Amino acid sequence: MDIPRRLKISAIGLFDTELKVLQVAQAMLEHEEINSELIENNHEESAIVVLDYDSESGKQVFATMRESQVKLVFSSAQPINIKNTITLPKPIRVHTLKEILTQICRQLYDYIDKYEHNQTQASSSAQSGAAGKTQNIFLHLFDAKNNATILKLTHSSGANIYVNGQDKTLYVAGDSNILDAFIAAAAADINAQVLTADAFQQQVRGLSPLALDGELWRSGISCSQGQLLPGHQADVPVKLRSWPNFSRQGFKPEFFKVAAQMAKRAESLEALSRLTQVQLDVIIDFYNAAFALGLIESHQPQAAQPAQTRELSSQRKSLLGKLAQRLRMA
Amino acid sequence: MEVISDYIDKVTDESATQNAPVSKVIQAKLNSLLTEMIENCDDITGAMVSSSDGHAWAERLPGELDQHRFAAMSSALLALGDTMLKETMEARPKNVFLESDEGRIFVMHAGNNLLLTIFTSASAQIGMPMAYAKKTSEEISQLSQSVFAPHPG
Amino acid sequence: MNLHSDKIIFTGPVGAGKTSAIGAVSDVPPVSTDVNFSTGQECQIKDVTTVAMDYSYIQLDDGAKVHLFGTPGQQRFDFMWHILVEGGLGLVLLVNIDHPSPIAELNRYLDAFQDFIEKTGVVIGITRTGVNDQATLEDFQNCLLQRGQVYPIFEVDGRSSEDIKVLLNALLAVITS
Repeated sequence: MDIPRRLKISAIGLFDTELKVLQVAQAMLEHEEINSELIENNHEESAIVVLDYDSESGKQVFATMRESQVKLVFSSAQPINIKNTITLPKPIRVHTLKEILTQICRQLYDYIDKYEHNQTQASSSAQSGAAGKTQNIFLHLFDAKNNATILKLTHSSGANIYVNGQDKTLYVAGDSNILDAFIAAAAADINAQVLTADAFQQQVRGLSPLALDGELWRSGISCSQGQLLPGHQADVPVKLRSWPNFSRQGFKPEFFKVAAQMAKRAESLEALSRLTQVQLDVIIDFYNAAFALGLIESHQPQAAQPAQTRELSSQRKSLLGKLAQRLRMA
Repeated sequence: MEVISDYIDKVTDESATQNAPVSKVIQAKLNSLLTEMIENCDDITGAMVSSSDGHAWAERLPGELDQHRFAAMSSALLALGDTMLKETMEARPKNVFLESDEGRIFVMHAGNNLLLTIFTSASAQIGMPMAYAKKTSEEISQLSQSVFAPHPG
Repeated sequence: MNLHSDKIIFTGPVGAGKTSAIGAVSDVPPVSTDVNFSTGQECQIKDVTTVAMDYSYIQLDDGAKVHLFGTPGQQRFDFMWHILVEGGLGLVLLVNIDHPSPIAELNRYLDAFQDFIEKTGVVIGITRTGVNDQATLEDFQNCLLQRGQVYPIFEVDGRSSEDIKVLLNALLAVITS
């Protein structure tokens, strides 16, 4: 859907009374710093389509509209539960309609801003490097989630993954081995292309969505290879705010110790490595993946406090060590 | 393996059953059995009938004892005792006997699903209260057969 | 001689899968003190409930045992909870997500065992997912966030030894941290 800055609002099948109400409400949008115009019977080019569902023409046009179009429906009957459709019960009041139109327009403006920003990013990175940012799959997925962008990732073998950072889903054109291939791939073998929402919907038709967080975690723990996320530092105290769901998302054996320590108090990754005797690389794997899932909170540097370990007798420690051996995951 | 919805329906609702797990008619009959036992045997100072999963059905308990808590403890005690006897002696359980300076408690089966618990003083003889309790437990067992329908199998 | 036994306690509401979980990792089948549910009304119900405890153990190479105890689920047996945790290593709390109010149960058990948890540690397992979920994993995580507690919490199949091992590994990590 092409959304120009001047938002076109079209009216379909409205009766006289409701049309007059809409005209007044639309005129009032100017006071809310919203630039709009009312056009009649041209819903293809409109940002918002206002329909009267009680009229034949309103019903007919509604049935032909795309899911992605914003539809404001006047109705005497039940609300219509379809994406991007708002139902206003009759009688329609000017003030109510004006408020709703204001909200919709503001959200559309936000969407336009993000869309234009992404277009700019996509074109500038296309200019600066080999077809977009050269980075591994984890960083592509992380960027998509962070920036709420919609991407198509292509492997040099031709395999494709579609990432929707807005609703946090991921689609694979093929079987799950493709994801493994992306995880194993060198950064240079992955190409990223920004898609519009409509192009995305078309290309993922028939594919089943996966949760983006699941693949973020998997790729984070596999692809990090000792590299912290850009802008993050190993000497800044961080704390775990929530444990990852290890049983379903996967883990490395050292992660239990790391998570337990990180949950207790804020420590830098370097300090954690010393405390747990786990290699910093492995801690970074955990940190990157956990951060991507929103499980890490940063802390201001604190005055050094002595690390407190629970007091256990040497007998108990030895027993627990043996139990840990026994429970070691294959 | 049960269907989950069946399971949820079957889970005992604590608040619903705590106060009235058994019909008033049955309760009255149990109360009268307990009263009769206590009147006939001076050594028995208190008694309770409860279900094996720890609900109080009828009681003549001394003082301020919480019948619900007491019913739960009786069931735990007898269940543990049953398990021990089964595991160690492959024996059928008769009862569990607690002794202290302040008095004694006996917990015994009364049919498949009920327990009879009696209190005696520390100095009382064991034989007489046990005999009365055994008789009463048999009467309770007979009564309980009209309450619990046989297993559908 | 150890005055306190080396034991891990499994707790949680009725039907959460405590007995299965112990059986999934123990060296011998658990001993149970299960009795039939009763209603006090006409029909006897087939279901069983633990009234005292479940018990089994893991035998280690050097002959030492780690005892595994399951508590009864129902509130009226909470005196057993305190008996069983006394001197224990840590707590495994299993909550079945198809319980009518699983988050309330999570809160209830964390409150009931608070003192023990602070001295040792707890890991939470969410069981029976995907059949009749009355909450989401996120709901559980949010509950812990609201309580200001960062405890390990995982979706598990109570009959899967791999899943129960994940719980126990996390518990060990917490106990020794």
